[in-house]
Amino acid sequence: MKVEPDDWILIARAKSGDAEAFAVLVRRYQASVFRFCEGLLASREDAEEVTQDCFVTLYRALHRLEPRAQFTTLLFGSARNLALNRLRDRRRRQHREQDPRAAAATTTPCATPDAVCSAEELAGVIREALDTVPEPFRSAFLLREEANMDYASIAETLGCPTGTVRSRIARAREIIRAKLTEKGLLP
Amino acid sequence: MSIVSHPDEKHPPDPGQQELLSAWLDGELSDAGEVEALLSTSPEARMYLEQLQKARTLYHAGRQRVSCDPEAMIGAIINRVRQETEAVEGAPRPIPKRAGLPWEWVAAAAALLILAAGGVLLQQVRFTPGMQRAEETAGAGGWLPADEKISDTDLAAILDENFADSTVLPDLWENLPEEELLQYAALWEDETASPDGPEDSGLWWEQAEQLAAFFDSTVFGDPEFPVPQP
Repeated sequence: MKVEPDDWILIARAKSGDAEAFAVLVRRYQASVFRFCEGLLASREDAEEVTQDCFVTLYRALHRLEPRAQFTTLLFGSARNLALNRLRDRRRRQHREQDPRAAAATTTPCATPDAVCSAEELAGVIREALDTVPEPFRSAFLLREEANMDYASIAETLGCPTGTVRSRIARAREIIRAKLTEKGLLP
Repeated sequence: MSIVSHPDEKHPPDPGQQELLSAWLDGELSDAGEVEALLSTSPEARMYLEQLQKARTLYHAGRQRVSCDPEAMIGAIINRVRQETEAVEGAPRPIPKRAGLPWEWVAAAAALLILAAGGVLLQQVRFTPGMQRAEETAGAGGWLPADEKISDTDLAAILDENFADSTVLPDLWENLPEEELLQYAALWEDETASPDGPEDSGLWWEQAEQLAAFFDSTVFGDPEFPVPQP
């Protein structure tokens, strides 16, 4: 059975100029970073750009990285900062404009108890439900569901106590549960 | 839009119980005793847990379509990293200011070199600072012919060492008389003598090298570059 190298071993190799080691790190985490960013930004294009920015930022910071923390807390912490910055910039730009995504969100079907959604409709409902989860609940929830982090790692990433992470995730889940119930997707 | 109410929706678990069930769902409880007791006594809690589990399943089903082309993403990231690396490695370093080198010294060096080559009358050179010196020298009919003197703008660009923003150097090389080039060669020589080595790359450094070569060959009496006579 092939054992994948530890993140920090890959970082050390990348620091010494091993480009393939950096590529392995990118392959390992790009999908979850993208999904995390998309969850925050509700935009595929923005999420792609921020994901790229995140790894490029990581590359620039390679020489300063020391294996003191979990690599994922650094990676997703950086991704979150970049995504929230992007979100803030976008909201400034859209200050006087109506967000088309907000308009689209009100038209999502699946409104009957026995509704069987298409994959596209389900994606829309989940998107809508996720959009009703405010920060910082959303970050905690996404780190759990998209990055598969445990509570301690999420706490380290967000810089808050583990108990706070627990309550934030529970709050996010309750909001999503209520939304899915409202949409008829839960009994 | 119809909103479905669950029979137990009126009495959902309180926030503390919701937290407990959520943490249990995540496998974050070291002691399951409390949640097991809650589930055994509360149908609302059991229903709530069931809803959380279904909501999670729906969430991941709905998010399946949220993905990017992994190879395209990796390619884009690696490409950007590569571009940054190449940009850093190949970036032309800025031309440094020649700190503390008085114009009079440079002018004197240029003049002495010309004198040593056997052709220039020192008394025709009036050592005044910067552009004024050059202008006065040219105006006095010295070794800067008045009709070929460079413009104030171009001269300022050179005197300010603002070479990167100037288009004057190629023009200098093409159009100025050799004796005037000698002066500027002296300036360039000073640059090349720096212990830090050449500080520029590309066209401008190439021009500087040419001037320095011209300068060197003149010093050593290369007949290919005859020293102008006054």
